[in-house]
Amino acid sequence: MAELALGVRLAFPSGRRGWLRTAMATAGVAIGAAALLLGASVPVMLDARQARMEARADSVAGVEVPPGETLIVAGVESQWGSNAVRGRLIWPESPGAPLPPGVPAFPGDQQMYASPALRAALAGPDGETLRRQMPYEVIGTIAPSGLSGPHEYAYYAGYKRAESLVGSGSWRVDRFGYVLEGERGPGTYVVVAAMLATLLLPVAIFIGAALRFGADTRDRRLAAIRLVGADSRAVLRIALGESLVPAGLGLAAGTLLYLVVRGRAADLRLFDVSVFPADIRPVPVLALLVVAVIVALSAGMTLLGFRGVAVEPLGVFRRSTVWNGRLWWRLLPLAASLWLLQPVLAGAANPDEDRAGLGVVLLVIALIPLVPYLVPLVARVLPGGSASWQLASQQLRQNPAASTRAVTGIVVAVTGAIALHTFFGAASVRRATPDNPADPAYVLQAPGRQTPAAMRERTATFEQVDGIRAGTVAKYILYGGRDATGTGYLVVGDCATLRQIATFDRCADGDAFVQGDTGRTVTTLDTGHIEPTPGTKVAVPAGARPARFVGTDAQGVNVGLLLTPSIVPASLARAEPWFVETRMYEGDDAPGTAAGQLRGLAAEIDPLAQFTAIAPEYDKFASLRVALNLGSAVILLMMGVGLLLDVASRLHDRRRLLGVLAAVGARRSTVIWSVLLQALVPVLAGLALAIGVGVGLGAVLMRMSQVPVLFSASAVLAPVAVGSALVLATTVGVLLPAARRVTTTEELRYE
Amino acid sequence: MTAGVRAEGGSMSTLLDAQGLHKAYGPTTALAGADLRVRAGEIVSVMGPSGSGKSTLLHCAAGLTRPDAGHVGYDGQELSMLDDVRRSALRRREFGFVFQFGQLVPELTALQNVALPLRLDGVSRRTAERRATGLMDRLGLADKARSRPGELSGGQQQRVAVARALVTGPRVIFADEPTGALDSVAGEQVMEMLTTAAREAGAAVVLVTHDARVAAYADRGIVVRDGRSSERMGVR
Amino acid sequence: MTIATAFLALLEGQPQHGYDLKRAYDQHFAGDRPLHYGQVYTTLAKLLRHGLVTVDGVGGDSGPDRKRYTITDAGVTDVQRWLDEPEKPDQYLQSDLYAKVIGALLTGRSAAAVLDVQREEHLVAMRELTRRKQAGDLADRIICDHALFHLDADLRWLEHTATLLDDLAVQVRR
Repeated sequence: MAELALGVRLAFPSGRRGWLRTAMATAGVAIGAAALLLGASVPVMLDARQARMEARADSVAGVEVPPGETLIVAGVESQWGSNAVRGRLIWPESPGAPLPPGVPAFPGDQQMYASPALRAALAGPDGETLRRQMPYEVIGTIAPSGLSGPHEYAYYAGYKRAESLVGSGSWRVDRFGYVLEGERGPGTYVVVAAMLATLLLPVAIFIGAALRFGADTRDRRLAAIRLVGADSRAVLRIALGESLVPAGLGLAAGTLLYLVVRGRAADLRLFDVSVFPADIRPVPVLALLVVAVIVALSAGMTLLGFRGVAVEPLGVFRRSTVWNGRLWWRLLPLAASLWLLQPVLAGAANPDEDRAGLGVVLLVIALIPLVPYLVPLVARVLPGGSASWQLASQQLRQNPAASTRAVTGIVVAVTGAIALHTFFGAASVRRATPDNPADPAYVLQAPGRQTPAAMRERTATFEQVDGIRAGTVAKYILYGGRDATGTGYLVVGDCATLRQIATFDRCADGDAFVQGDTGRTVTTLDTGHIEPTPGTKVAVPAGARPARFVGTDAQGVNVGLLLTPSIVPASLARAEPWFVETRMYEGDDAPGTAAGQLRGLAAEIDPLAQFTAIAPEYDKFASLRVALNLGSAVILLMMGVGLLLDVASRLHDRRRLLGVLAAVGARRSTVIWSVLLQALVPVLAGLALAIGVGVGLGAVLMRMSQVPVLFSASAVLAPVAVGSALVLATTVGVLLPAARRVTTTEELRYE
Repeated sequence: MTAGVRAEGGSMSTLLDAQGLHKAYGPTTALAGADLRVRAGEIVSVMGPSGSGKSTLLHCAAGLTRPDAGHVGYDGQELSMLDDVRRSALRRREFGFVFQFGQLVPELTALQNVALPLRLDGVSRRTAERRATGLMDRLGLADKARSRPGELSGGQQQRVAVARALVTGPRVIFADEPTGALDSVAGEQVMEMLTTAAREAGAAVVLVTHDARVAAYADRGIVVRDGRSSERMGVR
Repeated sequence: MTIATAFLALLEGQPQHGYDLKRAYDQHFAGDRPLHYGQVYTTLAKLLRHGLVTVDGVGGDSGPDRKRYTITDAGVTDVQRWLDEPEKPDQYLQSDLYAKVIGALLTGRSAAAVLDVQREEHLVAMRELTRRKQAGDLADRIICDHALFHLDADLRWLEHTATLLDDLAVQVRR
């Protein structure tokens, strides 16, 4: 105990250098601790969110609830900017109908309770456009218990018409809290794993590096204490005590940081997920684990530092002075990660996400042992020549571990940043264009029969929005027998609109077109029944010419009949189509608010109509990208400071040698160049490695998420540029003056 | 002189008895049969040119280095048979050390440095610092108690080191070139203090130096040349 | 330095009686050999004759020594000349120690033994001087140091010679 206390005492150093060291280690531990605590809070956070979402779940999953103490519900899933809007149109069938969570009372017809975020958006700029999607009078706010998170856009509106739509748009519920089926986008998990590895690993490396700053000084100090009569275990305890200070201070600061982040949690959103600060609290066991991990990490790093070092009363002895760089074990993690990622790389259809995630993390970890091998290799391979490079390369080859200690973190951070940036870049390219270029950007599918004139009017309504071209058709699904549906379409529309759907030679009103073998007649599917029921029989016109569906419609549709309005038989004109579909194409000149305006127009036509954005309206990874940029900036900054400390302390250790060099007449530029090269070469070699592995990692992520593999130079080079700029700024800005000072022969006087 | 001691009563009055020490560092032979006998309370100088092995002799005699051959007896125990824990305890309680430099812990104040051996031995902080303060007062270092080593001159640092070597009431103080980094006036102050305090405390001193004027503070001296001590020279 | 010069230096500080002069001389300059009274008065007589001091008064008290001596300008000049003149460094080219080493080598005896014995003798002397120095005041320390430094120089020569004995033996016997 006394030894631990002594160690703690020794960690409060005298002098600026020592303080900086302790501060850096503390900062590293603090950031790591905050990240780990947040991680430990995720289960609680998700559980609480999940519990609230389950409590309000109203999905009856196809089961018909008989009328009684029931509520009629219709869902309106919409979108405003990057926010999903969860709308429910409700109407109670009896006073005892179940009340949705968070709603104090049933709203009257055309009245609604809105979530705070939705209310804010309605009051905000462009709120009028949003308002068209939900033109109900706001009479109150949904309480947190009815929301998945503080930023959720949600409303419950009273909608008497829903009564008449049961079975075709609305349904009955006798309670809230049905079973909720979870969903997760493919590859998302792997992306998050890669991100955590990218952000947390450097923190761990940094903690390790920070705890080892000045290890040489510490070892000398411990030798002095050993002389006074501490045995080898006491010395170890003292060193452990010393490492507890940054660990303890860091834990305290990390908890503080965690509380700050937690307080700001309401402002954060990832993947459309927002959380209430009250829901962020660590699982107690995990919180204890975090403390244990931090303490164990700092202790482990300390013990690791003593590997191969004997602290004796007469000094510190390193057992292996000659560095033995074997390659094979350094390649083990890389090989293991490639093995884990093999299905992804081979293009397997449904790769195991856990396995791939592990592979990605391991790939980043694989860098750590490779960097110290790479540096002496580069030092050996690069042609010699100048005296300064000779000096630098000898130093690099002899003590690569010391030269690369601070570089490894930068390499890991840059690798991850490259991988994620290229991936996000490729993902956003996909976002900008629909999968199939012939597909529209948005589709509105509304129930009900419409005259050709009404359909033209609907088209015109949407074309009011700048840059939008539209077309409206009536779509019937062909009856293919009791067991098969969706095998064919009957489409009614004017020539201009039909041309958006299919290709054919020419078109005039009165023409008809067929795809595939329709036979002499086709039968539509009746809309009024859940079981497939044959509806209207339509004869295929004799003059029908061949046509071919384009875009997504072409997939899975083998027969089709396309009719221009004037050839539509009267029987069909009376039948209700499966839906009336308005297809909207977005030109380059469309404003960013087009989607919102279109949704508003659609809601005015029918709030229950299905509005689908074929191309996502927003960047799903935008929030992740911001988090990544922020995280890597902080980490690179920390790394920069780490590198600085490391280089400065090595310079300090070698100042006598440098002074002697200067004294024997080495040109100052030679000495300074040798110092610069020593700092720069490991970084450049590491960055080259980072580019290679980062691009590979990016490709893996793209494959996982079924994004076409695509690399943009800026996504690859931006992190590299930032990383090298940091190093340059560090070396030139701080190292040069220091080197200049050291190389004055004045320094020799003090030796 | 040594022969006389042996004739008088064997090892009874001999506190530390090193015999026939051999030690090689790789191809370099540091000791080739050196002896050192120290009686309780006496000051013995070990002289010799640089590289003669005198420091190695001190390290072996203090149990800091294990000799390749030979025996080191201290108070009836064979030092080379003791494990690290026992030898460390010996360094804490029975031995004191004053080296040329680098022995003070720069992070601790002079007082804390002096109290360090007591603290390592499990003495409470208050008691340790009270005893250290008392000793520093007697040695005229009271005004330096709060200073850190970096703020002290070389001579002051060595005097603090002497105080630290004395604080546990050791029976032997090993001093290896204690004035090596000092000018002659500061060196004399340190020697004055070391010898006076050691005599008052009844501690023996093994004083390794190449400087005859420093060695002259001893009661008697031996000379080490080419790894052999003066007692053995005649045998050659 | 002669006794006469020492007296002049002492008198330049202040006029003194012969008895005080002897005491001051013994304190500062005599080392192990105090002056006889005879030496005091013969020296003073010589200084008077050369006009370097004057007797400036006779005290009224009875006693053996009533004369007070004062330095003259010529005396002051003499002191100045003494201090200005550097001492000729001893050449030490006639050394008994050296002679003994050569003697041992010429007769085939152990020169190393000669050196060892001498070293021990020197060290004993140095230990004695160190004890005196520790017991005495600053003036004692300075004079002891003077001796110690010289003995130290001898010792270093002894060490140095010891390492060269083999080569020296070859040369001497050739």
